[in-house]
Amino acid sequence: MQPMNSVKLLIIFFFIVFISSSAAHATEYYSFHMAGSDCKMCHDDPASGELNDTGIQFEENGYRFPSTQKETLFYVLSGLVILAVIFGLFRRYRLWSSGKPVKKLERLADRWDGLLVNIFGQDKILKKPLAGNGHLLLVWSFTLLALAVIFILIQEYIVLPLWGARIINNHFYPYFRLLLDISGLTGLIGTVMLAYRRYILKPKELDNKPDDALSLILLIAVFFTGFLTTGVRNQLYQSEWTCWSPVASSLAWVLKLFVKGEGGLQACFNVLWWGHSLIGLIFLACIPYSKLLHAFSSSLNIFYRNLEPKGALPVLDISSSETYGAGKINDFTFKHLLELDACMRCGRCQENCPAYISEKHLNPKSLVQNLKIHMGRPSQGKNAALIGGPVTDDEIWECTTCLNCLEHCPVFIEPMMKIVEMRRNTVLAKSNFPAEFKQIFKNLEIFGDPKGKGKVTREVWVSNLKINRIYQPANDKPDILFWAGCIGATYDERSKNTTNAVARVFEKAGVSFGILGKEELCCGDPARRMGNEYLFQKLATTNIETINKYGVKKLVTHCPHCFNVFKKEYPALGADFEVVDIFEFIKTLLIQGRLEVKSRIEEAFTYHDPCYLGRYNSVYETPRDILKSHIGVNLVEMERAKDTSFCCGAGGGNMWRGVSAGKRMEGLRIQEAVKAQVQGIVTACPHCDIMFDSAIKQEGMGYTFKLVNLIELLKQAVL
Amino acid sequence: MKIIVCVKQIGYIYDPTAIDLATGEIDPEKMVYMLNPYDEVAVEEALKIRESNGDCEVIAISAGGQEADNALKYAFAMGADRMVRFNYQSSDPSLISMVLAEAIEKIGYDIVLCGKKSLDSNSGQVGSFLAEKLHIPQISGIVRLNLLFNEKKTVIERYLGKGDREELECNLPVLLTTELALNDPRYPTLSRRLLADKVEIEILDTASFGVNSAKVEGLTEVLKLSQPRPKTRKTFSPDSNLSATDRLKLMMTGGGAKPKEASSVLDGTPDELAGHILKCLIQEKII
Repeated sequence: MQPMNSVKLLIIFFFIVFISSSAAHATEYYSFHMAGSDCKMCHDDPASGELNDTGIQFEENGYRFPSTQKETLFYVLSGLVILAVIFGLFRRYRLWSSGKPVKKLERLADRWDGLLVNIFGQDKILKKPLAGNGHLLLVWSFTLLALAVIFILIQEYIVLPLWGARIINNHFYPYFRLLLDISGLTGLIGTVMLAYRRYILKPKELDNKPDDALSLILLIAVFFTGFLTTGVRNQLYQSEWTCWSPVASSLAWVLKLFVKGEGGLQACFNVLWWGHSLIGLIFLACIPYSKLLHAFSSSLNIFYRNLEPKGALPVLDISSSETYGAGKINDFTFKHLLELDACMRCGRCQENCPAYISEKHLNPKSLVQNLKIHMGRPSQGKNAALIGGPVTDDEIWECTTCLNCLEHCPVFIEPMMKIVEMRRNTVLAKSNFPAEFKQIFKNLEIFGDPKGKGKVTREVWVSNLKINRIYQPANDKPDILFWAGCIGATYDERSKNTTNAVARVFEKAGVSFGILGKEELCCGDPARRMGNEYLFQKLATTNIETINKYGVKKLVTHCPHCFNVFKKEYPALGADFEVVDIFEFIKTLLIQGRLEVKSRIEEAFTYHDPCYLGRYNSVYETPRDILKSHIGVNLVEMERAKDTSFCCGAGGGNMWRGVSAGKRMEGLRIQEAVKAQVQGIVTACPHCDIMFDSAIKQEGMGYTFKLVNLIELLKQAVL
Repeated sequence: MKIIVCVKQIGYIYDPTAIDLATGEIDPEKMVYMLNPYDEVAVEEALKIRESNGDCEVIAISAGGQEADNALKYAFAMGADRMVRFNYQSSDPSLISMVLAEAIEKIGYDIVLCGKKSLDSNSGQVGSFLAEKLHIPQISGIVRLNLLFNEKKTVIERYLGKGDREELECNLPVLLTTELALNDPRYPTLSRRLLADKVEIEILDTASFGVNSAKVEGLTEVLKLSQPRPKTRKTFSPDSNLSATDRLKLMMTGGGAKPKEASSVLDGTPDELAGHILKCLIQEKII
């Protein structure tokens, strides 16, 4: 086991204090009243404040309460529960730390900030109103109740013995009661909302297991018996404060209709008290062994969350590491394994995953769950290979790295990262990957582009334009480097036209730009997402050398994949140049008047957000702005737009991998676009262009439904 | 058992305009360097033999300058045990095979595997010359290899063209040249690649063998280079039964690809298939 660092220790300490304090408090609080005591134990007339014999004895001998048999039993039970909880948590912790240690945590302020925002603000969970609000109510009520408990503990064990005073005095106590009563009510409402969603609305993404039912039943039971116990106690001993616990009192009032006399009520109280205590103890004991663990594991995961740029893959140290990626469960890092326990099967990844929607094998939710089950297996089974064990070959190759799973997970779990880690292992260590990829890898290595067209073909798109080639020594140094990309420069006529259009638009606006032409290599994104980190680093370091050689300060590209990898992943390899978002750049040109729209395109189009532009880099509004307010397109949104945008199916190497199962993603997306009642679809990514081109032809709409790149449309408008 | 695999680093010309016909010079930008794909198949086959029989040593050997190291390293990364380079440069197959034969004799061999031809010079002669110089039988263009390890025999299938195949049996030692269809070469793992950079290549040269290239004259001479006839480009021709507008539309959209109709190719056991045919014949009122 790796040594704990201070943060981990602090967090674990906090958990244990929290858990033990709840139990200890319950003991103190209820056993006190159990003996039929309350204020009347020390004061015959609480209003006057005069002490009776017991009171005087307490004052003289200190705060000692004669322990009863029931109390002893309760203490013993609580002790067992605390042990069970500590044991359970420790067991999970040991599973997590069987992974590789994570790097030292940095940016602690951001981490605490995110933790608070996501726990008390429920930032990401609230994207779904019913589930989000239900959970929000539950979290707040539990937090308030826990704080109240801690507060009372501090008072009873620290303040009272040391200073002999109470913070919660008679003056303050009623409000305290009211607050707890309301917390209980909100918690109950929240639980009922969640149960209603799960068992009556039955959303598709939820699968119901006994674990879910147990948690909900325990929650409802804890709240309900808590109310009844308080209510009945009020009826029995504290009639003057009854009105301050409205919910509890009303429930007790209902109960009273069925119970006769003070004796009956006392019997009821005994049953309720034990009921509530036992349910409460069971609840606590269940935490590490059921989904209730997520209160800790998910919070811890939010704290440990990946603060690197969204979707940026970690650099694999090729020369010094002994294992590449994740072949066994222990090859994952602590963080990856913690994520497995943080998953509560809410299914938001599943309902947004294009592979799942297009009926393929991959389901990010079950992938994480299967890995979790595998993690808990005894050590022999654990050392088995992941692929062929808990994960199948198809699953890891069907991922298009669209980032939907990361975007929608409320607790920052990253299934895609795990998939890429597993791909790395199977590609680099075992050379086991879809047969189609071998040629792609070889082409990338030998020719520098996925189709193996060779570097002289990289300048064909330039054709009639006078473009400044950076490598020609006589030319002036341009301000900005325009990166054409493999697809843009070599793939087919459509993509070459689009690249040409970018240059034409820049030329029109008088932008001083240059190209690398023959000296460009693939940016490495396809190789990296397909798991071939070695190839990526080879390509990337060569590209960085070339770019540095010409002293490039700014780079612009119309390919979102290149854009993303330059912006987020090259800096980790030592690149030092600014990467400009092309649409922001064009928008500035339009606003400055360097580009003038001559003919507005008054047609109805829908816009498809490319994954690597939208979700990866949050460029949603600028392209829409250019389309709507500058070019004059009547923009109609599809059902899935912006952060829920669907994938064209090209990412993560799936462009070259034949569809093995299910439907074609690009076909589904085109059907969705057709549903929007528009003349065509606008894309902003050369990969999407290629995929949709074939999909439109396959749907038999080759000449009824338009497919156009945003840049092409802009060229039509400004030239 | 020692398996020798002869490999070559080739300069593959991917653009037909790369060669200047007047001077015979090649534009280096239109050429890429790689391990000859036929030799890659040969390496893979040697590794397969080692995997199924054990107790084999796979030695990759190449004749050439320093640039040939890359081919050897790739072969090593795929799984070869040793890399040997004969430091000798020539474009003449007979001379190359002469130095290779010297080296192979010295190392010792049971099977020699060569690619059928190299993609750059396309002469396909080294294998035959080599067999001649080693005085062993040669079988060219093999598509299946079955080694009877204990009997020191091989059973081989080779293409005869037009789908015909020939099965041959041959005693070891033997020289085999490989066809691309023989197998699907593996992609090297990263650890092997890194290892290939660290392991030293055994270098042999003419001095240590007493081979004097000046003494021996090459047997081939390049007389003339010519461009291949350009391939006729396939253009889409729409069905002439369609109206002119439809044809135009089809051509503009690159063909209205319709979803494929259900296939009429049947699948199943012979009994089932016979049943299907019978049903079909009855349906068509033929019987």
